[in-house]
Amino acid sequence: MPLLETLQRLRTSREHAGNFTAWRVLPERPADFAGFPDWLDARLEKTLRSRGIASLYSHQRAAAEAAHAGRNLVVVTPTASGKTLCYNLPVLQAMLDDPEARALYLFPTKALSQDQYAELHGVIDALGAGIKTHTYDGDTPGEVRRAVRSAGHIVVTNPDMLHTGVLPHHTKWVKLFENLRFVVIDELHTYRGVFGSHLANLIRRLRRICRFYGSDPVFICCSATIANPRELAEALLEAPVELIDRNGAPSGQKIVAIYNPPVVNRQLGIRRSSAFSVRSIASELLRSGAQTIVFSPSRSSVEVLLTYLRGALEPPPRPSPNALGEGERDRAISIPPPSALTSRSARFATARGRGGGERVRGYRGGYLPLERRAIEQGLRDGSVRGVVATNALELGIDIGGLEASVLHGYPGSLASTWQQFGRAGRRGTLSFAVMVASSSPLSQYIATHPEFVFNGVPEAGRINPDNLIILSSHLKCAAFELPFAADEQFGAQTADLLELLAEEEVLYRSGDRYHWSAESFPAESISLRSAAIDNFVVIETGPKPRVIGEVDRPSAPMLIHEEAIYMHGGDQYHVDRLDWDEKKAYVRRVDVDYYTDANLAVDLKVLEAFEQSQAGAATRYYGEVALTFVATVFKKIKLDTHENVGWGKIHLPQEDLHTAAYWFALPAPSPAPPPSRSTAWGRDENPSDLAHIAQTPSPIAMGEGRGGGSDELQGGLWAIGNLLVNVAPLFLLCDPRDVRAVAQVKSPFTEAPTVFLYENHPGGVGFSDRLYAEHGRLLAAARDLALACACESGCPSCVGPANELSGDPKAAALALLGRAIGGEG
Amino acid sequence: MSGGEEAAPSAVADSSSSLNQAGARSLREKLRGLGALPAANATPAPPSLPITRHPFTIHHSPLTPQQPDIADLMPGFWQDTPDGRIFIVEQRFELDHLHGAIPLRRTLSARGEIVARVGRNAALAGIAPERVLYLDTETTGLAGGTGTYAFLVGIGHFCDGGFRLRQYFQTDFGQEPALLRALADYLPAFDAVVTFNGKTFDLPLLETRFTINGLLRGQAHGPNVRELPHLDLLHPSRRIYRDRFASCRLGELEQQVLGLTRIEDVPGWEIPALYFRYVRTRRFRAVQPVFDHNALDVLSLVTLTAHLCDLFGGEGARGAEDRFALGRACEADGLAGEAIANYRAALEIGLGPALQHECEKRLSLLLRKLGRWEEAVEVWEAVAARPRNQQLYAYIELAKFHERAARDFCRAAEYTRQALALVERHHLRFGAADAADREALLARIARLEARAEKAAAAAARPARSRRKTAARVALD
Repeated sequence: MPLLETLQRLRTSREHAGNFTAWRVLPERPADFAGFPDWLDARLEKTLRSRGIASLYSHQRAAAEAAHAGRNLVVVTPTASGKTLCYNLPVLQAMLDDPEARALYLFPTKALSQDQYAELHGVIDALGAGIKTHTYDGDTPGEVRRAVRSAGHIVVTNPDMLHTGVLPHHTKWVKLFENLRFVVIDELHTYRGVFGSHLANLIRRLRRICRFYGSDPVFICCSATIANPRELAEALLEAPVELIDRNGAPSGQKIVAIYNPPVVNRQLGIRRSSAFSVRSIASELLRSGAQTIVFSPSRSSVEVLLTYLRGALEPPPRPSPNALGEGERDRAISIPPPSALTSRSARFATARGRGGGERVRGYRGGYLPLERRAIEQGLRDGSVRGVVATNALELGIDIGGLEASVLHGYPGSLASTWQQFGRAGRRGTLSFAVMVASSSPLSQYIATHPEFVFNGVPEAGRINPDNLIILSSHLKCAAFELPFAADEQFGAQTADLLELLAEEEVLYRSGDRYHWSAESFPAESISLRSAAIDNFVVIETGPKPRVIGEVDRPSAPMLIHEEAIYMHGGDQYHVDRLDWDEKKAYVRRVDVDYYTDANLAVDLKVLEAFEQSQAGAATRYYGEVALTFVATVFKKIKLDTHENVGWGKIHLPQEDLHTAAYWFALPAPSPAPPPSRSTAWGRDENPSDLAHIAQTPSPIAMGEGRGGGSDELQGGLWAIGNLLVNVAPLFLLCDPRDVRAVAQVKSPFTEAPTVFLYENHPGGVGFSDRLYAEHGRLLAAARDLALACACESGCPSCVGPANELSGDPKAAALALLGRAIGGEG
Repeated sequence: MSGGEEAAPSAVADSSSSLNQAGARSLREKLRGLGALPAANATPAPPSLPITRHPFTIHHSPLTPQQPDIADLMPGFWQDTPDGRIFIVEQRFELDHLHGAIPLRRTLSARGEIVARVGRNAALAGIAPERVLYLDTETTGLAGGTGTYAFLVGIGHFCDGGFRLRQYFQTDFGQEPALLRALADYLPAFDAVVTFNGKTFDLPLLETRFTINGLLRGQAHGPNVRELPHLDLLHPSRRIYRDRFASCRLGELEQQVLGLTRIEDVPGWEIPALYFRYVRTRRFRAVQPVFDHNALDVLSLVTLTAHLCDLFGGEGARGAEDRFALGRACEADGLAGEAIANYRAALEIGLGPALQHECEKRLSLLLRKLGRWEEAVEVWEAVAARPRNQQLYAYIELAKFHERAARDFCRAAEYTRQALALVERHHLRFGAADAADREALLARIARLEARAEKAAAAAARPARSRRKTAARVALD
């Protein structure tokens, strides 16, 4: 059945009509071609033509010209617009011109490296010019490593390997560093926050080594659509970068829709589960023959949806099912543990095409590489009709264009949303993309404000390369790699930091040079994925103890105190023992009907305000704060009823966090009746959200209520904090746990009611100044979220659960926000 | 700070300056607040040797006359290089100097082809003894990578009827180029290098140091020690001693085979800390013991070479275990005849039970490989006939021999049954671990019994009817 008919039926069906909050038709876009550049080697042109590329798109040409001319660049174009050619073309040309030339490709994950390597290898084989390329990561065997080091023209690796395996051993890579012409950084938008701040320092180190060996590479970056690709690239590279964002790739007509599941219980205001809606829509699409991808938020939900969809496509069970049929039935009843799933999926990989179910596949981290390759191939050749994936398939893995893309919940950022929408799209034909809202605050915000998706400014990627912890960590690594000249620059305050490290006896000053003078290997103890110096490991006890996860230090008192229920991969674990000094939590798998919620006493002190200004009735600030946390007690809360079924004391030392924060003070309270609100008819809860709450420490804490203040004021501030934490990811590329809130009824610093948003990473990674700049829009979004939420006086989707405080925190928050925003509120 | 247009307010564009303006908190306090520095200054140090810390500015000031430094305490001389001056410690040892139980002179009589065998490198064969360099480095750490320095390089060689030991020492990190330059100038006099674990440690480290200091790039000074024929004594030592000593560290070998016991020696793990202390305090006595340690290391390279050459040459083998280890080394080197002779000698003298089993097995399998069946069978039968024998392979090999070579299926089956009995005794003790073995043996017995039966039947029939049967079977 043609897609258009299916879509019309979907839109008008009794089940779905009225649930689409947006239905936009994006017109077809023709290709904007540009010929091959005249400097292009004839061999390369022939190879491209033989692979069906008769011409370049305009952005590919622009990128190739900039790179060829030696200018750093960042390419920002949608999924499947031929980004890889933007860098492969100039890189291969350079190698044809000069067989000694070298290039380094950086991908954020090993899986992406593998994928790109496979593609690159195909082109190079066809080219037949003796260009050697290989991946270099933890999986590379020893003998291959030696060959890559001395003879690899294009080394494909990831930042972590560059950090611990390449730069500290640069003398083994002399050939590479002497002849490095290009550095390719793909998926640039993933390098934001902590990871990005680390990468910026890694590039400082890379550049330093290149200078030592006399090379000065050109950087070619590719990014998904974000608000500030050029700013982010320039912050990462600390050099001018050319922006190429005029997409020349064609696209067919596309319908993009937003879907909010219907309210099924008016009294309780409960919406239908978003998973059911996804199943219904995706099944409809699959049954009509449309090749469909479903994006699911977590690994476990992939398996649940996969079961649903296979069930929807399977004919009813035959009277005498074969062995395979049994397996299918089992899975429909209960979700087996992940290990079993993997092996079973592996079996399906070999048994492909035997039944309708195998034409719908799962794709997520934890699947074996070969299995993934088979699924990707099946998607390209059409033998796989549907795939349920995590965002593992969002990044640049080549699966061709599908006909439909269904997003289960808001993926967390507009950048991801459009990447995932972009998986559907074929030249000359119609495609369809829809986001089905879940009950999460952001999902609900988007469902009720769909214009945000179409007209909104995408989030900004922010980094802070001069975060003192991150900077000083990399300064150590850099000093290990090569001695520092006393006047050398490496980020901010280099001279002072060098002197400090010398006093700490990590470095030694001899004449005008600082030498590494410790026995350790600094890169080993520095993780690029975290700013905290140390994480706690969670160990499942038993005959074969195994590490099941890591918890960052600030969260440890909340998540893994003794007797806590630690959630991991949808399973519950009871924390039997927490070894604070060794940073280990010993847990055991349990099946209980409650989760634990720890109470954290938080104290926040302003160390320094970098800036402040008046904004409406409020005063906004941005600066540095010191927090102390003491976990005091925890409650056991029943999963479905939220009853308090017990409590215990927590005995842990106080934790400190110095970080960046944005805050604003409201005018001193003047008692005013809260405005009455009109509607209160919806409330959406589903178990997965509750599990999420159980896993995440409550994002807001009340500060010491100095100077008293009414319960209502306190509740209102607390609610605003929750709202702000919920909407902050609309403006920042960050994870939900990167930003937390503290409310003070009378802050000692501002002497007024104040809400603080602080960064959950020591030193901060650049979020706070962005939030400071977005103050107005941030508050407006918080108000809109509260107004749009159907709950009566607060729920986890907006201001937080109402039962935490007495009164009506939602109304109080709206009143306070109205005052803060000023006249328009 | 990136200074993006819309986001970063101008007042904070340079956060560092505003941080400094705050003044109240120093960089140190901030880092401590962030958890990046230890709460208090906790540099671990043995209480017996207090550290005097000076502000860093004093480190490169001229030495105070009160502090005796290297030139006052060690024999040697200053050498000028284009990269600065360096003090080289030099000592001379007589050929008869006894290092442990072995005089240095003994190394001079090692035969070239034996040295080549010890090092598994034919290029070592034709090198004059005085053109062999013995090398050992002391470093600022064991982690490797570009941040590990070789602060002391000890080299030794035979010359002028004696043994000359030189120690190149950087009194400061800044002296590294001078050290490497002086070393590079001396290296061309040598055609081979002897180390202990140099393949993975000392030589790559020196190469890294040369590269970082620009002495390798462009090949202007090209003293690449890694290109010289190299005898790394760790590997032959492991081949000989791996199952006898707890470790094959040099210290262990010195005690066990060179007859050398070090007294008041610095443990290796303490060396980096001693050097850092010296560099910061300028008290040479802190690091002085490292020179003795390094000198002993270099001399041990000399006598260990002598010892291993004696052993591989056959003269030095002192007991059954030496013989066995030597046999194994010969076997690995493809010298089957010598291997067999050594194995037999070892068994003759008498080994402990574990080594005896391994030796018999190796000997018999090597004989089988050479097609010397009778001798092999003799070993297996001796093993199999031993009371309470637990060596499964003997039964299996005998079964295979009788099935394939002698075509005596009954005897083959009988040996397989013995093997099965042994596995089942094990089975009782170790549970299901041998289940697969057991299955295989049962299958083999069945097959052998069938073959034996068929052979018996065939033997009972005249040749002609046998042919007819075959024809009938084919028609069916």
